[in-house]
Amino acid sequence: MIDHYAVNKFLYDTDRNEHLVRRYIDDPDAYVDWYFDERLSRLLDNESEQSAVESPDEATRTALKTYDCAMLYRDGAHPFILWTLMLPIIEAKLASGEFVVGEQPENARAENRKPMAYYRERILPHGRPDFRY
Amino acid sequence: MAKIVSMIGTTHHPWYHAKTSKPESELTEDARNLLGWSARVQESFRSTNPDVVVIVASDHFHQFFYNNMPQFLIGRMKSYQGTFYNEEREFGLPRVELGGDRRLATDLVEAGYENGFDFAFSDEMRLDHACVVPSLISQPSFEIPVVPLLTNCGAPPIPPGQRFVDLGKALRNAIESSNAVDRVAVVVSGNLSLEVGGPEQMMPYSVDPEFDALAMDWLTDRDYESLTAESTYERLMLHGNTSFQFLNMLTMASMQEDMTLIHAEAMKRRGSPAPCFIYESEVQE
Ligand SMILES: [Fe+2]
Repeated sequence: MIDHYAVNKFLYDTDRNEHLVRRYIDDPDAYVDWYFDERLSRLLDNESEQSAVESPDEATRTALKTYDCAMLYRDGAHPFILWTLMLPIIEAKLASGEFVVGEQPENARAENRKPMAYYRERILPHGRPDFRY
Repeated sequence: MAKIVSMIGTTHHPWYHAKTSKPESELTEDARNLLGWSARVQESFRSTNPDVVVIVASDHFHQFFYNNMPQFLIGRMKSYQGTFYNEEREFGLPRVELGGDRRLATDLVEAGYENGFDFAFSDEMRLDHACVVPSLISQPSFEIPVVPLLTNCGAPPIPPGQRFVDLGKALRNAIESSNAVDRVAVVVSGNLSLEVGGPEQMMPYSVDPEFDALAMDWLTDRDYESLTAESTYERLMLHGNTSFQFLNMLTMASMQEDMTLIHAEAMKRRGSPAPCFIYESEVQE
């Protein structure tokens, strides 16, 4: 089971910073390790202080390093910030050919059709997980 | 004493600007409907002539995060900048500036204590699309200052429906007890069934048309029993993982009091329909 706070902080903190999004796209292994080793426990509004928040396990790191949205989604990462960050990742990886998208839902709305189809294909088996805890 | 002269219930569809800023010949049916809605709201603003707009809208992980999660927060800034890098990236939203009203905002926080709400407040914040898009719709020239009241409809545990009903009453009392301005418009932003980041997101149909139709009836009939019973985490999750923003509409319903309902419509879109409401007050000139 993923650590919800650590994963959500990773998603939130990365997504709102153009440079961090770039680093996550370019070198996910190094970025995820840096994030959890150096940045996770720093307070969001006070970079000189740390909290007792713990670094998540290896499985969580691997899920983030491999952009495994299905596992993160299934285990209760917040779906809104998960999608918001996965979108530029999937866009970039589709453009570079690293990701391939299967069939797109018929008539899917125009906005982000391809990344949406890629993401949907993966999370669909997991319904709507409870993301309260 | 301030008076609520108009109240708008509206979508904050993040692609509003991207869709409606195209040349006339390239406008989709959705875009034309959105522009038609904007024209109606602007007309209501012209005829009711508000001094300030109180915007009730959900935060989308821009002002709030799990390290420090308020349920209801009032902005006290003298002016606001709008939208964020990740919203420009995803939705092509323009960066905007809006005036604020620190006196009215402070009065609302103080009156909250008398009315059962200990509001969080912020003297430094930016506004996300939930405030920017309703402003683009209601006053695209941004000449009227705003007071944002942000709600937590995104990070559970989310307040129950009854709190949003109570918020409407408290906010009405708070506005009416302030001398900061004369005429106030309230713009409440929310949605019906909706999904973001879940299996039904951005599909060309509504997540739950049955809920959409019932919810519109509950709102127009002020059926608080149904509204609150159907607004728990478990119930709203059945209609999509972002349906929690429906809760803001409960605040609208409970604020209307004796205002006249001018317009109530679930605007058809590819996707879940958007709730559109206009209420106005008779005001002695
Ligand atoms: Fe929203």
